[in-house]
Amino acid sequence: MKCEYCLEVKDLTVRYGEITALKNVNFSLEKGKFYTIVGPNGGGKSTLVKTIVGIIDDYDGQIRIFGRERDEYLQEKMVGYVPQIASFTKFPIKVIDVVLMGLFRERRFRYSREHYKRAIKALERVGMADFSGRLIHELSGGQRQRILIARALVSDPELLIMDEPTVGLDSASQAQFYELVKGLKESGMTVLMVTHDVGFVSEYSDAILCINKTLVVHASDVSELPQSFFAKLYGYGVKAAVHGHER
Amino acid sequence: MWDIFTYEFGLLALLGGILSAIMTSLLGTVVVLRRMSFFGSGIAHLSFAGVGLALLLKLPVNLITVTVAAVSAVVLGYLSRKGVHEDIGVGVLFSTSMALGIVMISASGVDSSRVMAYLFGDILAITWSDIWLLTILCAAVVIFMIVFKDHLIYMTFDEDFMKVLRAKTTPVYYTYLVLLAVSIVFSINLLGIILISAMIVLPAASSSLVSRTYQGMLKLSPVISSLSVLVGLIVAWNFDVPAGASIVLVQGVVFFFTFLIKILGG
Repeated sequence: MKCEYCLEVKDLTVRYGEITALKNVNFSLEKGKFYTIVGPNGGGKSTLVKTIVGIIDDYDGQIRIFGRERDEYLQEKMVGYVPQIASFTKFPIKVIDVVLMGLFRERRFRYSREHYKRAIKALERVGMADFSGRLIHELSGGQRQRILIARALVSDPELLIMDEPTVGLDSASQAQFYELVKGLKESGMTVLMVTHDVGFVSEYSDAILCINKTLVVHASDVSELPQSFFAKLYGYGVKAAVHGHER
Repeated sequence: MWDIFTYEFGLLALLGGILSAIMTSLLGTVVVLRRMSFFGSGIAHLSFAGVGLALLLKLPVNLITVTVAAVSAVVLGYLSRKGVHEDIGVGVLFSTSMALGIVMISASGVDSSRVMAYLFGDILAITWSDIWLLTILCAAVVIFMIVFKDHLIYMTFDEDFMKVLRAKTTPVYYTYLVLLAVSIVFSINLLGIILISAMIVLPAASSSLVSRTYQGMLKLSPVISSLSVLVGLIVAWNFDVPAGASIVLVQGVVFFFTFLIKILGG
């Protein structure tokens, strides 16, 4: 049976002990589109993506990925996941080994030459092939982020989820990152990205999910949102810029 | 200079020392990367309570000590998975288990020289049966590290991503902790409870100063540790000093030497 949605979330509730991080979240994502998740800090955005990708297993409700139950899907395939920039303080691991992690499930005790070729290809895709022998902690924040994207892409996932990938990046690194994302969008990959960058949302996003403990709004275009929406969501005067123009 | 190895006890000490060096340094590399250096020392001290219990109840010392150490390692590992850092759990149990061991040994009425052997070890007293046990254990550790090296390194580097991969890290982690505990207990005969943590931490710490990658650390640590055993035994024999302490001193010198190389090399 062919499935219309790549991701369906029904009545999702996640609790950390007494604290409810997410309550009755419902939404569906269509294939091949670029979605962004916005919302205030502590609103449950990271909890939502961590639950979808399998980091958080304790939840109520239903998550279906390409028509299959989350755990069933994840046993067989992988959702591409890019975490928030990690410091990786002095961990002695080479860039190529970080990317190979994405092929961990495919290896039999060791990585084959084919695995290495695919890892290099993924690095080429993010423009980092020349850095394969460098240690991850020797790289800048923006470069590390591209390595983590290569790790997420190396297994050719059908769905890519990124959790605030531009936090801490300078504007040049952000611009490079956005070019990369543009390429992913054009390749037809379904992408779900958590961000606070409202300008980015309006520029690239096909649809927006606003999360603050529950799903506040699921809008297909930033222009659908009322002018005061972001100010209310974040609690201060944020304005959305559509294609470089303030709304 | 080398004549210690013309005697059987010298060869046995070298063989046992190298077997212990290989397994403790391989497992120690992960200890250093996970920043749980206190863990090895803690398990050694916890096992002292096992020694006390065995002597008090007149039960086989190795069996009871291994059981106590392995159970402690699993409990501490579980606490760590629940958010209590390994070092905090060890810190809580470290002194109490040592005190418990002293009380139980005192109550058992055994000769204090036997207690000293557990505290400081006696590498020159090991037997062929110790060598066979160490060989089996060392083989198990080497095979485990070859098969599960990536699991251990990756879960140290980015545990969340291993969950995304649905990799079965939990059983690997607990098996690692049990192997570490068992290796510590069987190495206590050689170096004693006080010095064994040096065998786990120092070679890996030295190799981390001169190796760029974790693969380099895994290759270099056993070499540094084994050579330290060789040099330590020669020094002990020629200068008539305790062999266990001599081995640890050599490892300490290697650490400071590599540290110096690192500083001078920028």
